[in-house]
Amino acid sequence: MDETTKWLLEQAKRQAEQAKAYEDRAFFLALGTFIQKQELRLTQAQGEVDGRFWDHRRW
Amino acid sequence: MKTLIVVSHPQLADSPTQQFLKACAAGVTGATWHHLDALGRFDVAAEQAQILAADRLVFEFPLYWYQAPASLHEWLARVWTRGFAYDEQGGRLRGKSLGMVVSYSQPRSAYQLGGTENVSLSALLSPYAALARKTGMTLLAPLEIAQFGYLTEQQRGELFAQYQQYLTVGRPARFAEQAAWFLAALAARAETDPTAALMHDTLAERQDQLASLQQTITELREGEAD
Repeated sequence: MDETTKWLLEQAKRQAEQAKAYEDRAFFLALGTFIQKQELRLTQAQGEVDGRFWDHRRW
Repeated sequence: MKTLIVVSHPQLADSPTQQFLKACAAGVTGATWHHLDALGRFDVAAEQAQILAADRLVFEFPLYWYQAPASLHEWLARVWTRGFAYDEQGGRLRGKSLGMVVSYSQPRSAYQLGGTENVSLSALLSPYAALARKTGMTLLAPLEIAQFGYLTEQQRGELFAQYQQYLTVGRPARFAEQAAWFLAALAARAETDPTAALMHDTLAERQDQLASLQQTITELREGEAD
């Protein structure tokens, strides 16, 4: 996990903990999950780009 | 988007699931909570006017013996009349979207072939798919809520966001549209919360990066196919 993702997740957790209204707490809990999904997609997309660029059949 | 949430539940006050969803819906601009069982006799003209005013209809109900409670059937039979829901010209609901929020007390795995109920939720909900097709409405994949009572606080938070997206987002299953929803919600908070503003900018940048990578992948795949 990269530093930006760690920072985003920490902020989402902190905001959820400090929220006064339930809907704010729920939003930041859900945002934490979204951040993880976004990171996974970024990693997979970057991996696919790298993989396709390094396709040995195209050397 | 204007969304009419058509709730069919004979004992709404006793349902923690529905009380949770009602609280979630209360924070959504443009969403109207419409509890059928509380109406008594249906005023057909008023019901039809409410339907026409909406861009999206969401049928929300618990599964009772594998189907919706009686009030939804009665409402459909009385309100969705010929000439309104369908006619030779296609009816007046064409172009709207139809969603379903369905709750049940079994685990999610129960509703599939070979599961303990041995039938899929899609099979049980197929009459509504037929209804959407007949009336020219776009069907959304149902939002399923299995065993609400067993959800953790984290899972309830996720359901909160998923449900609000279901009420407001054009294609709620699409990741990019979910991202836009989170970004809009962060932008609204950014006015009073500098951390939310920073989170918004960072997430937006990453979403742009993802779109750019996906574009590159599309081009690479096309290049390989040539």
